[in-house]
Amino acid sequence: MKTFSLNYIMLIAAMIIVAAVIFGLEQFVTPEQHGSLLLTLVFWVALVQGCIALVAAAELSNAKWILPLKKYLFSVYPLMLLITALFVIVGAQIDMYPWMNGHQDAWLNQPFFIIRSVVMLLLSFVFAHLFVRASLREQKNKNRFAALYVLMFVITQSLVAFDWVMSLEHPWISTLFGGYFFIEATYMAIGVSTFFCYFLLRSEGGKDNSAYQKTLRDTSTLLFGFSLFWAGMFFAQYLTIWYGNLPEEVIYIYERVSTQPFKSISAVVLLCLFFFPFTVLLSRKVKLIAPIMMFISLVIMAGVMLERYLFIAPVTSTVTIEFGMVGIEFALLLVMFVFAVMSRERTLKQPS
Amino acid sequence: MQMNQTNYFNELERDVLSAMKKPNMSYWAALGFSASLLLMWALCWGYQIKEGLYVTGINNPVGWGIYLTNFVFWVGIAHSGTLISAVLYLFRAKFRNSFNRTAEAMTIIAIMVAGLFPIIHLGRMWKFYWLLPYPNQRLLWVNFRSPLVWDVFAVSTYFIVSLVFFYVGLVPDLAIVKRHVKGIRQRVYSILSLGWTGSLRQWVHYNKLYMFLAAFATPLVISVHSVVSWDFAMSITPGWHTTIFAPYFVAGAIFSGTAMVLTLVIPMRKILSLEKYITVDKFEGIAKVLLFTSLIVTYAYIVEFGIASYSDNIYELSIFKYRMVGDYRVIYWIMICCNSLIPMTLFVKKLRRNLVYLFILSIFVNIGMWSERFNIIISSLSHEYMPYAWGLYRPSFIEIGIFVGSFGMFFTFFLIFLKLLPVLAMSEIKEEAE
Repeated sequence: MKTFSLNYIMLIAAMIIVAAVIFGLEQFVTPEQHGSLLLTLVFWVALVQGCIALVAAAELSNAKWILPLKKYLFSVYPLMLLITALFVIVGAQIDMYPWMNGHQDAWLNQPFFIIRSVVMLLLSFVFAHLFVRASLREQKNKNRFAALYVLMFVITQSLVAFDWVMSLEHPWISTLFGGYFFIEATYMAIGVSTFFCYFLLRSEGGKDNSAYQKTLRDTSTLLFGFSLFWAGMFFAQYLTIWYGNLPEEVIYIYERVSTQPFKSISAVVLLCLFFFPFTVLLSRKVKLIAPIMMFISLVIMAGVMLERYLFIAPVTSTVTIEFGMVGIEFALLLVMFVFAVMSRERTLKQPS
Repeated sequence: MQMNQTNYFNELERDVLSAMKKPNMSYWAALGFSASLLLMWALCWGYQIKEGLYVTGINNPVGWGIYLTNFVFWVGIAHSGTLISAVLYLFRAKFRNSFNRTAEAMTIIAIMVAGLFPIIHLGRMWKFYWLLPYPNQRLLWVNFRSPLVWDVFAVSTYFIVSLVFFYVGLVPDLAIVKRHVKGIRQRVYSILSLGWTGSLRQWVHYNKLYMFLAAFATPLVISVHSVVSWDFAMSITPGWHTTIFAPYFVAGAIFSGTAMVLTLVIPMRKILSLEKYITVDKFEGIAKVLLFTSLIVTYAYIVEFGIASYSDNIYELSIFKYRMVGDYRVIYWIMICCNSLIPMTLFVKKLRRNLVYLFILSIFVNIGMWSERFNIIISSLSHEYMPYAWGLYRPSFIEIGIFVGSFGMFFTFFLIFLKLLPVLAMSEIKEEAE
């Protein structure tokens, strides 16, 4: 059966169409409902950037388990362009940030806010492109590009955390927010890898697939490790704020655990991102069953999405999120993600 | 092929075990020097116990002087042991097996040295056991909400697990030592090797245990220094109360510990002629870990300052400016140079593979990491909220004596380790060669 795939130009054309559709849809949204596109983007920017960062980190540490997954993970990098375009639309809705009303300073002001994020997103796209090309051609300098990409990844995810999300609650601060975001992005990328493992195993059918089984086992083990790591990061952040009990800091948590539906969502997030994956992955057998691993990864990704909803939704009464809109935008990006992965053989062949 | 391998194994055993033979003059000289520093440490502490804490420079507001700086510094040094043994083992990073034994020994010794500092810092040190929760007549319990009590649990757990890990790793090698020594020493090593014969069944169990211990020890690496960081972050002192502290301290600890491994292993390799087993490639691996952790620490420096500027919190911003241009600015800039700028040179492959350079760099990193802890503790305490309560701190000779003496203690124990136990994990190097 011939599978559906696009070449590079067609993929870019599809991205332009999606960006245009989302731009059109956003015109119907009232300023009180801004926030749905931001929510969609903070999820997808982590996932897309995380996929490349995972390969870069693995290449830098000479990890072998990543090799069968490399093409799959690489294939999503053109989506960074789409995310950049969509961020410009968010830039037009910047009124949802409370600092826009009179608190603008050298760092937090509309032009610089948009420019720095756009520049960083584009730079990470460029370095991802160079890294993907060097890595697929097994060039000697691939590690240099891998290191540069990781640097861009860390800076961009920190900007996403500090600018896109944390500044919604200005002047609330948490220095770990940036680190928390790029760890979560990597966590999700490992989750996505289990899907790719499943497809690899299935495509091989009855053939000897012990190499893929090994990759699945390593990916699952890493996912287990990251569930614990995530809990460590979460706890480090939570404990410091809770113990310090400073009104200006603790308000962030208080808002999210004292009223419904945020209270229940907070509990679900903890369940999805730590208790569930950690408990299930304690079993060694589970780590070798691809469908179960896919389910766990889905739970983790749902957890991240809910957590980001929790970050954004309660900010002010003016920002409420339109669920229908989030659904449509999320689905469009998911379709593009699937397209990008399916087109990997064609798009990765000629990234010139 | 088989013959070559047997020859290699014999050579390996001979080379590693020859390090345990009768010491030469330079060894005695090094031991004598370290022991005299240790003696100085004991005399200084004895004097402090007799006279009381007024002999130190600690005052109000700086109640935590360089004793706590040293505590954090030595706990940090203790970190790379478990990182190299457990974390790199789980990641199947082969370069670890040239360093793991030394790193583990270093860990055990460094925790012992570190553990003494909070006790040295006590006014009535003979009451130190009050830190432990135990049933008593007056139904008094320790304050479980105090991060210092968390430290007691975290550090002692880390010590026990590291010791078990160290010992389990040693068992097959102790059996090798047993074969090569005679008399009473043979009996001692025989008991210590727990009847190890190297049968297949033993190896199967052993590998399971080692993997289990490695998995168990890995979260500990993160937890111990997180708890140490919370000694600071739980308070609401500007410059301390910040969420990034836990991962930032963990990275800093691994950074300094890895540097100390280099400081110890580079001369050891030369003196004991172990060039064949501790190859330059393996040093490159360690140098990469050093570079990686340096970048994390640098990221934390930037974020801390950036977020202090971003927030409207004048106290936070004031403390960061004070660190840069205030009374302790020299220490601050030493920290930036040694921890962030100089390690950047490791991006150059040639320098990563130059052992003389790595050795010098490792000393700079240790100076930088000590300065970092000094900078965090002293500058925040001396410049808290109210200008009326500001005050400066200068360590006394007794404190400096105890600080320098702690290096004497560390090196004395390390030199004794070199003569009593095999410095390389022979069985692991054999496994890699197979």
